[in-house]
Amino acid sequence: MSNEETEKSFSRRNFLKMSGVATGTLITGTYLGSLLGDEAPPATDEPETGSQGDSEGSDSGSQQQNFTRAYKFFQNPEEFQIIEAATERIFPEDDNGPGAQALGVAWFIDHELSGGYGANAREYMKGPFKEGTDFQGPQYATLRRDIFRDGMRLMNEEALSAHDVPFYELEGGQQDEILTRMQENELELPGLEAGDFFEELRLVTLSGAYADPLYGGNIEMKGWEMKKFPGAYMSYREEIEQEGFVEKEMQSNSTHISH
Amino acid sequence: MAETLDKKEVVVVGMGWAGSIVAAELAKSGKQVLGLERGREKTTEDYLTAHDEYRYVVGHEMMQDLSKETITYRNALDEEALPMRRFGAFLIGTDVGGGGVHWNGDTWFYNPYDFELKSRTEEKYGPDKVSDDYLIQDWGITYDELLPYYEKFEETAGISGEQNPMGPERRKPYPTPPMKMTPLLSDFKAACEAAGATPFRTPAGNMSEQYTNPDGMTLAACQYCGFCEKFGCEWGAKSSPIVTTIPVAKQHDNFELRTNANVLEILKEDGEVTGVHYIDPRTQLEYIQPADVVVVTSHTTNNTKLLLHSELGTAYDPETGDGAVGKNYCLHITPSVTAFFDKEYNMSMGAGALGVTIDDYNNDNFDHSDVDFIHGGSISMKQQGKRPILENAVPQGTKNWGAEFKNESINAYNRSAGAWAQMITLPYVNNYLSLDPTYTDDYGRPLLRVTYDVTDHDRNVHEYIADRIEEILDEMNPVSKNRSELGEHFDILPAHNDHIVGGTIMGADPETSVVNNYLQMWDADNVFVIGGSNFPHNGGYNPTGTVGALAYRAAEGIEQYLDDNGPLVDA
Repeated sequence: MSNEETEKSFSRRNFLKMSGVATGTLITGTYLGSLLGDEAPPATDEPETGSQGDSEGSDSGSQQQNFTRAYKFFQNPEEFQIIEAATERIFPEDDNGPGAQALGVAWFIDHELSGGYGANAREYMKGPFKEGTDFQGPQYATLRRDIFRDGMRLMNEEALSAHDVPFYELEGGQQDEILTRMQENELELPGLEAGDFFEELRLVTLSGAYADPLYGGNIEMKGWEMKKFPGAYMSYREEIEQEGFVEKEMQSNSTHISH
Repeated sequence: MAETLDKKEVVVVGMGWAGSIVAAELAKSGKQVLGLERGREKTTEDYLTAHDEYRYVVGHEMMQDLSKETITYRNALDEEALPMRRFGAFLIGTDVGGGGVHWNGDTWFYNPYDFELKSRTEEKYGPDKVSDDYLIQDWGITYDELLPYYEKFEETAGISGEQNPMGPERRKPYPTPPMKMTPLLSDFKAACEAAGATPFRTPAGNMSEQYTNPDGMTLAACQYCGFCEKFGCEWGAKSSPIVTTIPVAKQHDNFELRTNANVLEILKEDGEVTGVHYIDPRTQLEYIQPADVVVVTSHTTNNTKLLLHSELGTAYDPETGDGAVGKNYCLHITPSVTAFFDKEYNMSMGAGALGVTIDDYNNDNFDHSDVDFIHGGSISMKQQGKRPILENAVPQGTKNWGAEFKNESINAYNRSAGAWAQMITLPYVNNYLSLDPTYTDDYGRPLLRVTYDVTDHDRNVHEYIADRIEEILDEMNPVSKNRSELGEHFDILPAHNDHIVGGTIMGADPETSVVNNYLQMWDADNVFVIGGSNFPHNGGYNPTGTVGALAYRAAEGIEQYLDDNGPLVDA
């Protein structure tokens, strides 16, 4: 079975059909599983038309208003611009492709900070809070949403005091200098080391660049494209033994959803 | 005020591999079994859109909610333990199927040497090979005694593999043949051979072909989609309780599964265990569930925590050496080397246990007379399927952000691979589990306190094994290599290895063990405790196969106990 055929057999429409029937059929194995012999599931006659992007409107979307582009967490454009500038230095545009700004990482961070991530919802946050050894993990009481507020303000204050311009108007090298001082704990934040904030910022930037586009970053799967990570494929059974690199079109989780 | 419910013959606490095996076996033989699970019901349909690294890996979707309960941690007896506020060193699963749903599928028989670690070491290397501070002990059962139960678990789970050239000769072939071979693994295999080692295929719970087990459950063929570890399998192609033992138990009306039931305490009346007290974590409503037999099958940490909260058995005291509950807490340390290549591999494709292993430096497979340690570890390269958020290996010396980092991490994504070992650690006098004096869970109970640090012995093994990994990877002609180093102390924050064991260990002597070789408590005939918590030390392989074998043995013991009502082994 060729790559093309394998992709066909996992087309969105086809998958919907399968998952629709799957409900309530878990007696032995699964309905999905029962379709599989030792081979990948058979392709159907339905032709695959274009990439999933067509049906999801990613191409035409640029002409339409994107209603998700509004602040859930940031309070003003300045906060957005600070984070956008900082994340672009952490993950800059280069010959490989887009950086954090073009990937929508600041929007990702805005939306995440407004929810469970910003509130440390699934972490142990009961006191007493005490300074631990270097081997006991983070022990600060401050929630991420507050850490980011303080961190943004700190970056901007540093920029203003040293250069008289906001952080997002600095040259890249000047921004890097502030970020480096942050990473090396040379700046001060209430309740935690500045390096702890930098680490949160670094990780959430990578998440925004590479998480499924359903979260608002990794726009048009361009983050995945750079790493040649094909995304949410449900089978590589026909390709995994092949010598040489197999190029594949990116596929997001939305291909597995019925609307 | 807790509501008292109708009595059951057997109540099983936790519906992972161990609990669901016991539930299925006892349900088949007509016993009245209630399975309690603190998490939610989960089926393969719940994983149809689970190819989501952010939700499942970064967000720990399938893991214990740490806002409700966690552990506290310290390196030494004279330190104050502080809470593990977020996941790092190891993960703790939850929901129906437990860790058996989000695991990778590596499934091993421990070596005969493991079960007689102390006596065989002394016999061959003398009584002074390791100091008395290392609490090694025999398991109270031999490989030959446990073998039928191992085979039973393998058949239930449909494990694929081939004869380990360094292991005991198998009585029967694996239920399914080895998985597909990939270019990366072929290159690693050739490198092992060139380095003088004897590679073989990693035994895997990812189905190499469609398989129907002796209970009539059909598992689908693995699709190599690269989303095993920390994910559930939408195909039902990774062996797990939700496609094997749970549906078998559910075929019987005498089995009941009750979710959102978090057991707080094992109840006693006049010294006799009478049932359990549990809470619904959503509503905070509490219940008393009377039962003839209580089977504790939750995570290693939670098994020990539950016994300590219930004052069952005697808590271990590291100062006096008395007591056994909480003793022999061990983990796997994973020496690892990442190699960077010119060649591009399809690193996004893979399966949890898709790999090649060597066993030349594990168990007592080589002479330890001239080295300052015993045992060792299995060394594997696996192609599990890389995912982009957290897979950012870069050559040593690269800054971890900015232009150089971006370029190097993108370049290395399909051009780097790691090999690592499941390396034993020996139990140590100060490494143990107890209750924390300060911090509590959402239900007001003390958190479990972990006291742990790397020992000198384990550092010695680590160096030796890491050298061997490097020798092998050098045969793959890498452009560069990164080798993991053990820090000054064990650190609870970086991701490490989920294989933590001990705390309710098995043995032949009630003074130095918590359960007998049927996993029945010495101190309470009608309480059975099963899991990684039974291991007196962690062998050089992933632990699940041994947990499965112990659960099948326990199921047999429980059935016998329900008929005879006495201890199954003489103290």
